[in-house]
Amino acid sequence: MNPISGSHYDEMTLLLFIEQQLEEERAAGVRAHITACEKCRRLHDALEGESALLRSAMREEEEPVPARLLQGPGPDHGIPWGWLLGLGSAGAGAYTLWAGIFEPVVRQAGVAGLGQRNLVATFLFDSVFWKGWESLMDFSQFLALATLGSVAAYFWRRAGSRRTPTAALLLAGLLGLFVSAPVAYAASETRKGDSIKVGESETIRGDFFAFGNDITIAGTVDGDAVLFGRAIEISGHVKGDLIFFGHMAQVSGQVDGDIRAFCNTSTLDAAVGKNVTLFSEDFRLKKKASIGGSLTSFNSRLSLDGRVGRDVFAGFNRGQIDGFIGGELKARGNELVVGPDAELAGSARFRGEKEPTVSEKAKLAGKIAFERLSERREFNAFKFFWSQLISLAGAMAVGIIAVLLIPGLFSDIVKSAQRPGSALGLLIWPGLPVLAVFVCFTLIGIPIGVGALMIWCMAWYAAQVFVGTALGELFLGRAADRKGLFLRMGIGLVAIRAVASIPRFLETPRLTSFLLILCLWILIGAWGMGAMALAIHKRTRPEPVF
Amino acid sequence: MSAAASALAGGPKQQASTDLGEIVSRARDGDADAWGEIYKRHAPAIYRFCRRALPTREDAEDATGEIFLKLRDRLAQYDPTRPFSAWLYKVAANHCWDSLRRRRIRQALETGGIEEMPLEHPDPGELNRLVDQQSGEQIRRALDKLPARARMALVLRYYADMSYDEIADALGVRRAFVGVVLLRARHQLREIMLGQGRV
Repeated sequence: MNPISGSHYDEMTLLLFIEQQLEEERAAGVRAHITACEKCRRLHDALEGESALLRSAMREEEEPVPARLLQGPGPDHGIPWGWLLGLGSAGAGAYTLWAGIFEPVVRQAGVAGLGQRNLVATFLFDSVFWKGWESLMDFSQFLALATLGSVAAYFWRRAGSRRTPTAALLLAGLLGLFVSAPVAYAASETRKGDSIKVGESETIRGDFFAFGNDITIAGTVDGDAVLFGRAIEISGHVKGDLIFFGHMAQVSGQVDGDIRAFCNTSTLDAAVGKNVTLFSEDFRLKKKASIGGSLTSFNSRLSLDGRVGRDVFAGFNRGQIDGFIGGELKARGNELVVGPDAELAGSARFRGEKEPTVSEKAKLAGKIAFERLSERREFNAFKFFWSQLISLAGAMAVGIIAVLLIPGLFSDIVKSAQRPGSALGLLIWPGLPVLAVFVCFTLIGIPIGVGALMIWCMAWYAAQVFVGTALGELFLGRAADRKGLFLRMGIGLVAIRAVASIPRFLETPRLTSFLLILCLWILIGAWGMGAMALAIHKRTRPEPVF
Repeated sequence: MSAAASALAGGPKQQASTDLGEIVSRARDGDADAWGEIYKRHAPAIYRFCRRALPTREDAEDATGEIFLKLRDRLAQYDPTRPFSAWLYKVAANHCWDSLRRRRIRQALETGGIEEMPLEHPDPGELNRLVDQQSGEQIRRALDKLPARARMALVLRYYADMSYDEIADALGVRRAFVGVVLLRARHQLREIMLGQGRV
């Protein structure tokens, strides 16, 4: 190429010449030209000077290399003891969690009327909210799939893919969620309004969703009924499950499936084919009412005058039983009164502050076993430390998996946790669930709202890992390698548990202790969520290239 | 990138080079002490490289640790016939650039406008004056204000002495555009330095 304008070379060509990027023939032309042309020679020299300045400026050692980097990676003994210990304790923790907590709870849930199904699976995956996931059916299958996915993602990363699969996996997961969500609304009818009524002669084909002030079902619902309302009255026939959230509910018709409800005042005067699970301030099972399966209820006042075919598992402040229980009774509360019309076919156990009052006329299979709950708990050091160890192992396992799967994001979150901006979590922690509940009140928003709540729960749990690591780094400084990172994570998690244990050791009253510990975990949750939000914001913030 | 090897290893001598070859070979065979030696020799230079390429000191510290983790995992892939430093800087450059890319740098602008670089002939006097007035610290401060790609390009070329082929590979641009990216980065740097001077 000739000089531009027939007289001088442009800056680009001169730079390429300086950097020895021109072909020999062209370089020779430039060399000859700058010998003769003073203007081009001066620009050539100025560019060379600029290059030299850049080199020297970049290589000046104006600040020392951090000491932790100079210390080196430390000897590698070949055997990853840290890993073995971490995974071993995680495995032991998982086994103990299963054998010591989940398995008995599952057994208890079976006794309490949730069939032979896993309690968690029943709540999360076996409701009309989540029918798209029914094929999973079991929480352990879900965990197995999640673990397989995690391992696959880990090996994908190790295989050298430079594009992180995390986003793709997340996208795939969300896609799956949204693809599965419509299944929940297949063959369903939805009604919204102030007053909603299914007339006596009316039959709803499929599932029925209602959002209103007053909801009345006098007719027939062929599938499940899901109701959100202030006053709910069911005098008709629901052939599937009945699920409702309301202020006051009266069920006097027939429900072939299960009833699951959150309500302030509930009265059941109906024939229920399967089980009833109920969270209600006041709950009354009237004389003519019958539950084919079991009853699980948590109330302030419970009045059980009707008939329960199988077991009763109840928590209450005051409970009155004057009906029939075909299976076992397991209750916990302040006060229990067993009236003259009561008939308990199975064994009965009550844990409470007062001994139960039992009428002489009551028909019992045996004496009610009573265990007094004292205000001051007996402290079992072994049990306490063992549970702490299990909890620590679980959190460590989550942390290790997070570091393996998302090392960059993990590091960003921990760094964000060390910045004041993470106080943003004080808004996110309460804000997200409130938003999720609002979203739930729109039909299309139910999967999004429930998904957001689940993410919120997971984020709350994971927060301890990030906050713990940040605290560990605060104590020991930044980690030079993964072993150091896991050490700091472990120290931070132990520190959190140590602080959370203080109320127990001080033997503060139960409620005070509970509130203090809750406040601590809320603080950690908010702190961690703020850090997560900051890190995600940092990663999604666009930066200009040119 | 033989220049990088020599420039950044602090003036390698034949003996040191031979030693390094042996150390790398031992590290590949799983010798932990050899790996420790590699780390001690190269960690400071890699940290400085990261310090120039990434926005903050914390980022550089983290990236240095992560790069050495990657290096240890990939040591078996190293071709001993090539200079070790060249391989090391390639891994470091890829890591830093990936790290910046993950922050959602706008890909649409990756090569946008590159071919539109005007063929200018700036005033050599002005450029000389600018170069003479700037201290190393001012240059580094200006570098910190550059957009990620521009800064990365300058660091790869003038700190790591990478070849145009290697820069093209690391930044994901065509080799023919590397010169334009560098020149554009220098223009931006000059503008920032002029701005600093006015302040």
